[in-house]
Amino acid sequence: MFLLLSIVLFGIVLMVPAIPSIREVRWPRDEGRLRIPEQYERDPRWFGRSYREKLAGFVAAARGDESYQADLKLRTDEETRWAPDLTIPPGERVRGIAVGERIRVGHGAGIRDAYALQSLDVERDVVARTLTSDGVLHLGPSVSILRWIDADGEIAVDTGANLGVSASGGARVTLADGVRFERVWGKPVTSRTGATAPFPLVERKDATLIGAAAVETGKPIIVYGPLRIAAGTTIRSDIKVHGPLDVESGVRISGNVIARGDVTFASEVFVEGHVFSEQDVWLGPGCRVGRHPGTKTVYAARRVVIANDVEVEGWIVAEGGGQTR
Amino acid sequence: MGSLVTVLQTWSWIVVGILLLYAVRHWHFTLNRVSARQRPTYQDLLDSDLPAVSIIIPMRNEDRVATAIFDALVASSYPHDLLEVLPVDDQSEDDTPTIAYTYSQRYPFIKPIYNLQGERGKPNALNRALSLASNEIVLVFDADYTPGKDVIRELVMGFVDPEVGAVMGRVVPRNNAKSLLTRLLALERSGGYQVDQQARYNLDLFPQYGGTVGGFRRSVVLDLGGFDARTLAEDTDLSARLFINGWRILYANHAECYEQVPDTWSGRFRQLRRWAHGHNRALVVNLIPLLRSRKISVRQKFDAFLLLFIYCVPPILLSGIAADALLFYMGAIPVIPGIIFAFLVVSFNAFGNFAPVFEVGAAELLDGGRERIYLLPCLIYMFLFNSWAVTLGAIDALGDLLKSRRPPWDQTQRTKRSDVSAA
Repeated sequence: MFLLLSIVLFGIVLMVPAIPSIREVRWPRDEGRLRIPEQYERDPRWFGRSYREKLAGFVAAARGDESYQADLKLRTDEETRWAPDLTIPPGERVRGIAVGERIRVGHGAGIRDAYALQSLDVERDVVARTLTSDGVLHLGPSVSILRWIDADGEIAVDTGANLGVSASGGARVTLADGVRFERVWGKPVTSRTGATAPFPLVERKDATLIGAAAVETGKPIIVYGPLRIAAGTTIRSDIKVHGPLDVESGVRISGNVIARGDVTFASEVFVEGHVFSEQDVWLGPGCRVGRHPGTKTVYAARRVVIANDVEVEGWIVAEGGGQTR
Repeated sequence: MGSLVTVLQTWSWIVVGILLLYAVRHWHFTLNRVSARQRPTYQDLLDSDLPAVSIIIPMRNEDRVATAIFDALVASSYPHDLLEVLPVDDQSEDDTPTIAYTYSQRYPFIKPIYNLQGERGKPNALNRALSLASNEIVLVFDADYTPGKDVIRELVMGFVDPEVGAVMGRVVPRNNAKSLLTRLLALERSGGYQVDQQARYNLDLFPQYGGTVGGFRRSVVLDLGGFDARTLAEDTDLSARLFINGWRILYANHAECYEQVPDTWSGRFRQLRRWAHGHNRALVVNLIPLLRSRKISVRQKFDAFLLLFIYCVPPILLSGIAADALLFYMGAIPVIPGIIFAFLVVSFNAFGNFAPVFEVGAAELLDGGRERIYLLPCLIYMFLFNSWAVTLGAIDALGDLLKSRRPPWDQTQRTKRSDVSAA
């Protein structure tokens, strides 16, 4: 009897945790599958492309008119206006979307979205949500982008601008000094800044040193701990470092560079492959990543810092924010 | 009598110790996933020089799902001139060979392999395809998986790291809404991938190659002797051998792919029993090489051991509960101090279940789960069901080992695509 009772009681105790589940089991409210983006393709110019698609109908209707206005249904209703030559006066606050062949935004203005079919010129201290151009795009000093910019042609960015979460161009993207960014795509991305001195390299006593002679190796170089590569060395393989990587001036690496610590290139370093760091990436003056017309990536889980005359043929991703200096 | 009591009491405390160890491990993983900095993978790298890749699809009687995976691969954004798709028909008795042939006529990069005679089973199919594959990078998808457009690229990019021997993506159930079982399995999968695998990758421990939605370097696998045809868990076995030999396994959490989970309790029972069987064999075969390996750290060895040992835990837990019940009814635990018995029972359930529950809860938090979180207590009962299947799998493995026999291959039954499309 005692045995039976104890089993029954144990069974009841065992059922207690199920009480909160009863409703969800009987009347499911959250039984859908986890949404995964099956159609997703990594495209550094996705923002610009999708935005142009959304505005294609409006542009087709407006182009040729001297002025045109309509409400566009995007996420919210957006008042959208067209003029072939559109000028937003300095200091003006504009809501909605401005579309034109040529757009000029005066200094200190605050706009939401602007889409130019030929050229988009943004003067200093402008704050904008998104900027799109089918031609060239120029950002003046200290322009601040809240979301993204995209241009089919060249992009020139002046000192102190903030490029938001994504800046992408179909041609050359040139960054002056003090520009902040998260993701920049260009063919190539280049810098024109005042930082012409090589980046200083940290002296690490326990670092493995690869000498100045050309390293002919088919096998990847894998180092546990810090690695320093001497000036003038040529390496014809991939490099993986479980620690920081310091590369002196004039080094050429034909493979990928992967490091779990900081990657610092002093100056004039040429990498044909990707540069990937789980920490920071410092690209000193005259460094080159990738070879035209190919595409490679500089990725840092934290910061990317870029000096003068750096060229990256493809994408720069700085999860923790990037900056030119 | 006295010595039996001592033995049972000692065993009880050993069991509690083992479960406590796993609880701490899973708790640590959960905290790491929720609050620590996440280690990046290589999916953000864009490259104009993508490598050619071979994709193996082991298939047996897959006509219910074959069209879907072929369509998904054809729709992939990966350049078709760099793709070689090798569906391996393993003596199907349905329309699978015809479907594969039809697609191969339309898409030259699909090159079916027909195993008309000889040994069946996934490891054999993989070995056959490996010998015919043209490319160094090889990906594997089971036939009921539908990779998204960018999944192949995201998996392949992992191999830019010269230390990476295998890459594993995330598996997401498609047929959640089918039944309570599928919903609970979706919770388990969430915890296992979103938290457990990612944390092991973050901590540079032992993420596991799961045999599908993943890939490996062909030359490395061939150097290691290919897939072991005697195992029912060729993925765990390969993971262990790669790790022991100093290769890293990269977990790419963003390379997500839908799968069908078993929607019948009997199907799930068979699947778990097979996994436990294969996993325990992988433990036995790889334990000594793991302990002797000089290519991994002590910390990594310990984690790999705990992972390989994990399918031994349910039988140990059941034996611990039995030992305590015996102690109680033998009077070794008097009624008043019987509170200790209750404590042990609660502890067993707590440590046996709460550890994965940490992970599942955190995973649902990360995935944006809402009311489904109320199903968490149901995992306690699921755990009892799992324990029984896993215990039988462990017994199977022990039997095979003692009798030196080769286990028969079993396959999870597929559901018709139309049955799950509404999910």
